[in-house]
Parts: sequence; structure tokens; C-alpha cells
Amino acid sequence: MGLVVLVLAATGWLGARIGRDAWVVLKADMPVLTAQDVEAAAGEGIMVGILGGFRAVTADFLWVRTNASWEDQDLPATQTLIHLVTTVDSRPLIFWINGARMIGYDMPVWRIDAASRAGAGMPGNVQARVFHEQAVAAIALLERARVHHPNEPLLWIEIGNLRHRKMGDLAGGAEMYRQAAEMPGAPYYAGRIYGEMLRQLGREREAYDWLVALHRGLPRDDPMAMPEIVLGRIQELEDRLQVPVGERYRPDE
Amino acid sequence: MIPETPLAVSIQGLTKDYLLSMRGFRVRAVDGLTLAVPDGKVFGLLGPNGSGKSTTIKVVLGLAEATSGSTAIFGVPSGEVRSRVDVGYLPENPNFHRFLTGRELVTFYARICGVTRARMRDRVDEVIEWVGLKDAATRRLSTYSKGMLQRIGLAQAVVHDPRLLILDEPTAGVDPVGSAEIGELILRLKAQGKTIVLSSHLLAQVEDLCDRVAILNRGRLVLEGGVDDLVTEKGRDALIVKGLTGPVADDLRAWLAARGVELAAIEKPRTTLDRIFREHVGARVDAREKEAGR
Amino acid sequence: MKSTVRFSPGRVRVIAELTVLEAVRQRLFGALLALAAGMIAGALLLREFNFGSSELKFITDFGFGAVTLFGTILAVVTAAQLFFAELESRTALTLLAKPVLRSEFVLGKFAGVAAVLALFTAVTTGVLVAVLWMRESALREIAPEAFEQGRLVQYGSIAAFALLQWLKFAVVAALTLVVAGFAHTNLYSVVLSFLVVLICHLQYLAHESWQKAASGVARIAALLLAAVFPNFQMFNVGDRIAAGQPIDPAVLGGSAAYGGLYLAVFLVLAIHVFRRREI
Repeated sequence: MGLVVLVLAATGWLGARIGRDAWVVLKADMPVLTAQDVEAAAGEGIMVGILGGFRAVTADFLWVRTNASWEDQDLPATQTLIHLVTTVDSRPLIFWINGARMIGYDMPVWRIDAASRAGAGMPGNVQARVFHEQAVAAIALLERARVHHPNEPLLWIEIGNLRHRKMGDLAGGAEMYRQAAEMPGAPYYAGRIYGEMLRQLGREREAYDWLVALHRGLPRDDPMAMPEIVLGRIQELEDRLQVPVGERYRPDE
Repeated sequence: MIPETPLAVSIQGLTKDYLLSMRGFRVRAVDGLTLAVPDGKVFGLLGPNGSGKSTTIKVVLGLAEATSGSTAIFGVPSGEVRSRVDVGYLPENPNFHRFLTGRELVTFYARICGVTRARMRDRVDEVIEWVGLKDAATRRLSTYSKGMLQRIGLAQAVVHDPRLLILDEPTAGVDPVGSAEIGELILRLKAQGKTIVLSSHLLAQVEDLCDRVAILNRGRLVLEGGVDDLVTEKGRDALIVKGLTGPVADDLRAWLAARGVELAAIEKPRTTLDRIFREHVGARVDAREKEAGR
Repeated sequence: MKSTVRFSPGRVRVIAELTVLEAVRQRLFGALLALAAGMIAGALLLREFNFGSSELKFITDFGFGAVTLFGTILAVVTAAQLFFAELESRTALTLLAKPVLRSEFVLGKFAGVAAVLALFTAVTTGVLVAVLWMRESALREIAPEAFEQGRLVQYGSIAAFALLQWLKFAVVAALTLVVAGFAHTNLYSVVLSFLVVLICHLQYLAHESWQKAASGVARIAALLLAAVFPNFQMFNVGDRIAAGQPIDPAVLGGSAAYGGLYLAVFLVLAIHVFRRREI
């Protein structure tokens, strides 16, 4: 028995060296579990699953349950499951983004409908408060997501949408879009929408400068970049701002 | 008495203990056994259940390790795998891979023992026919009777034409007819010049087969010698006569006494129940098995 | 008489072939195969939820999970069962009384089990690939914008995953043979092997915690676990592939080398343990 243990220990030592580089990469892929995460997951009895390498499957399974609860418009269950799924596996963006949308867009409607079915109609100001509350909750979820995905522009965009559409905070939403647009790998539309938001805020000069800088960096051969649309908006702003012809933006320069 | 012919199996002072528990309790299965099995003979390793026969065979075959002493096959220590190159073994109550057919089993062991591809098919057919299982060769072993399993076991033991055969309880659980058939196969193997070590607790059944026997009891050797020497009563002779009546018997007794020979007893010669069974049942069993084989 | 009996790959192959035949004729193999394939095909039900292109990630995750879970079970149970079947039924007596080296017996058993595991992995991965192909083709019709860069599923990486999992299963089988070599019952072998496999999946936690452990006993226990048991998370490339991220061939190579090292060591240990066993 002693010899067996010795041989295995020696193998462990050699194996650690052979597999070191591969382990660095694989370990980086594994979400870090904090003590709070462990506590949250332990209550659901799925610790062995998430620790034993079946994290993704466990989370997927929980996500299917989340969607089932969402179809039933079961607010407490859906909210709990969203938090659990993102705890078990924080890697897939779909959990964070779709979860936030469920919280920010669908749940206020459920609450209002539930009140209406109960015979207690909700006045407009109360409804607005409900939408605001849910938007705040959704943004809180997305802020948690940013800890795990610090360089993911889609999260900034999602926060921006919630601030703009559900909290009426156009300036706050615009700022999120700006930050997203400046991140590597940001979708092309982030820059276009920020420019449009600046225009809606009345900051037309700023919008014009932004769109010109944006257009200069857009690839001409990628249809997703839509440079012609950006150019069209630049020209509209030039007319509104009455930019002299000689100073107008020339794309080829 | 040291045999002049070379030794097929040599056992020197063999002791084998088995550990029964973690506290060190041991049971001694074989105790200081010394035996010599000459080449070309049928050697019986006899004794009641638990006498150490199977343990001795396992040590000889290298399946278990001796606690002390040594064993060898044709001069090669049992611990070496090459000692088993020329050995065929039929274990007690053989259990083979039940999902195989008889032919598949024999072919498997032929391949294991290195029978060449060129010879394989013919040799397998030959031994299957030799043990009388040609009609059952394509059936799965799970459908075989006890006697058929013993015979297919013999087939796998001889397929590679070994010099030495070790058969552990080859007739245990087999009816008298089947036992007799196995006995005939063993005698045919002996006629081919093979050495056979035969272990059994059914002494009457193997008496006719063995040249020499060793009788074990509780792991120790109690008796060893040629069968004829052992079973022949010294100092007494038997005459078989027909038509002996009372007055003739009296005259005979007196005539013998006058010559200093005591007529100890007049008895009817006895056959054995085994032989009677075989004579009356054997033919019927043969016919039934052939029918089942179809 | 030959001067020595040399190791024969031919004998190993004969024993392996018999082992494969026995495994395939057993119900367990068919049951696990059907269960795994059924689970993978059942992932088609996910289309009811309209996840869009993310559905492919879920199918891949479920597929990988089914292959890994059932493959691990099959590796432990088949290795223990097929090894013990020989010992308990005493067919090993007849076989080992032939000029067969103990190493040939162990390697033959292992090769047979590895072949069965390869068949299992190939079939279940094939079902997964078929399901993914079908769904991806359907989703390209429904939502072409998500597929502007081409197909999302990396089928080559899935094949690499399958190979690596087969290697992992082979390591599990070899580990089980080490345990079976000294165990006295099939049940003991299976239970102990599953326990060891579980520890190997959690070994990375021991490795991380031994330095942080408060007490000396905890430190020693954690260090021992980390040193003696292999880290099965080294084979966990599935999440990355399912997320559509590329796998560096160097990472695959490192994991494969790690697995190959443990496979070799476990096989040597299994032979060493079995050599000392009395039949």
C-alpha cells in the first residue's frame, strides 16, 4: 500500500508539471465560487453538481426551469431561479441578459396584471413606481454580471436600455451606451444609438462630433457597420447645425 | 521409492496457509506435502472434501503461492509462467463463459494456447468430436448439462495437445454413465502417452483409472503407492469358480487344509452398483443426449 | 520447453475480444447507451422554449453531460463487473492456468473495456452531432442573422471533446481495475471506485485549499488528496466548446498527456496488485 501511495504521489507531481499550462487555461474557465454563492447553492442541494464538473448542465437545467416559471408568470420562483442560475454558472450572458429582461420588462406587467385581477386597479403613479422598482432590480442583476464580465459591452447596453425606457433616464442611458461603444468588440449599433441619444438630449454638436469620429473608424465593407446610415445622420446634423460647406465632413479625407 | 522415469510434477515439502482474518488467524490447507508424479502415468490425488487436493493443484499451477516448500512442472518452478506451456487444466465444477458456444470456447482457449491459425479449425473440430459434443458445439454453454460442461472442459484442456493434464474432480456431480465416458477419455489420453493428475473424492470411480495414487487427509499425505499394490490384499488369493455346491465346498476346504491353505471364506463375487447402472441406463442416456444435441 | 514466455499482444487481443463480446451481450451496456442517446435526443424538446441560437449551447451542454455521466458509470461498472465475473465465476482459474501472464490478463480486460467505452462514446457523440446539425440547420432558417459568421457549432471541437472523454473513461476503468485487483466483491469495487472518481472530480478544491487550511491535520489531508488523486477537471473542456469558444490544441494536448500518464500508471498498478492476488 505504501508503494502504491508513493507511486501515485510521484505521478501527481509529474502530472502537475505536464498539465500545468493546460490547467491554467481550464481553471480560468471555471467560475469562482464565493462563500455567498456556496450558501445560495447549498440550499438547493446542487452542490455536487456544480462542484463536480456538471456546472453548465446544472445551470442549463435550472434555466429551463426558470423559463417554465416565466411561462407560468410565477414571479417569486422566476426571480429566485434567475439568481440561482447566475450563481451556479455566471459565464453564459444569456442568463444575465434574459434574466434582467424578465425582471425589468415582464415582471412589472405581471404585478400590474395581478393587481388588476385582484380587483385593485393600480393608478398610473403606482404603476410607474412598479416599473421603476423592477428596473432597479434588473440593473442590480446586471451590475452583478459586470463583476464576472468586466469587458462585455452588451451588459452596458442592457443597463442603458433599462435606464432609458423604464426609468425615463435618457442621459443615464446614453452614458451607458457611450461606455459600451468605447469597449473592444462592441456592436456597431452602440455608437449609432449613442449619437442618436445625444441628439435627443439636445446635445447636437456633441452628437455631430461623435458621429464623425465614429464614421471615420467604421469599415466600409461590413454591412453590419451601416456607414451610410451614420453618414446620413451626420449630414442631417450638419444641416441643423448649419455647418459651413467648406467645413463639412468629407468621408474620403 | 524414487521412480526412474522423469517427473512431470514435483512437490517438495509444500505447506500452504490461508489467512482467515485481520487478526492473523490462519488455516493450514496443505501441510508438508512431498509428492512425485512420474511422466506418462495417471496419478490420483485422492481424499475427502477439504483434504487439500485443490489447494495443492492451485499451487502447482501457480494460481496460489506456497507458504513454504516448492513445486515444479517438468522441472520448471510453478511460479514461472512457462511451467504451464505444456499443461491442460480442468477445474473443479468448471464454469465457463456461458454466453459462448462450445466451439467458441474451445477456439478461445486454442488461441490463448498458441494453436496456429492453420491448424485451429481442424484441431477444434477434432477435440470437440473426441469428447462427443459435435452435435452440441454450436449451442451456448448455458444450455449444457453438467456432464457436457465437464466434457467441453476436457476439450479446452487438450486442444493444444499438452503433455500434462490436471483434472480436478472431473466426475463430480456427473452421473455414472457420464463418469464412465469421462473415464474412457482419460484412458485414451493415457494411451497417447500423456501424464494425468486426477483429483477426486470419489475413490471408487477413479480406482480403475489411476496407476499411482496419493491419499490426502486434512492437508497431510496419509498414503501413497501404486493402485494395484494398495488395493491388493497381501497374503490372500481369490479363486472364482462356477457351480460350487455344499459337499464340493467341504471337499475343497479339506483338500486345501491338507496342503496348509486355509479357505477363509466362500462368497459370491460382487459387481458394483455403478457398473449395473451403466449397463442398464447407459444406452438410454446415450440415445437421449444425441436427440437433445439435434 | 520454451526458455521463457514472452508478453504476447496476440493473447491480450484474444482476451480483449472476449471481454468486448461479454460486455456487449450484457444488458447494462445497451441500457446505458439507450439512456444516453435518449437524453441527447430529448434535448430536442428545448425548441419549445424558443431560446434561439442559444438552444445549441444547451443541447451541447446536455449532450456533454450525458456522455460524461453515463460514460463514467459505464467505465466503473463494466470494468469491475467484467473483471469480477472472471474471478467469481472462476473462469479466471482456467484462463490463468494457461501460459498467460497476469499482465496480459489485466491488459486484455482493460483493452476490452476501453473498446466498449470507445463504442459508447462514438455512438453518443454521433447522436449529439446529429441532433446539433439538425437544430442548427433549422435555426439558420428561422433566425439567419445569428449565423452570419457561418455555423456556430464547432464540430471539430466536439470530436476532440469525445476523444478526451474517452481517455478519461479509460483512466476511470484503469483506476477501477486497481481497486478490483485487491477487492473481494464486485459491490465493494464499484462503491469504492465511484468514491475515488468523485474525489478526483473535487481534487482541484483540495489542491487550492491545502495552503489555506487552518489546522495541520486539514493541511495534511488536503495535501494528500491533492497529491495522490488525479484531477479529473483536467478533462473538462466541454463548457468552453459549448460556449462556442475555440480550444487551443496545446490545451488538448496537455490534458491528453496528463490523462495518458495516469492511464499508464494505473495500468501498471493494476498489474502489480493483481500479480499478488491468489485465484
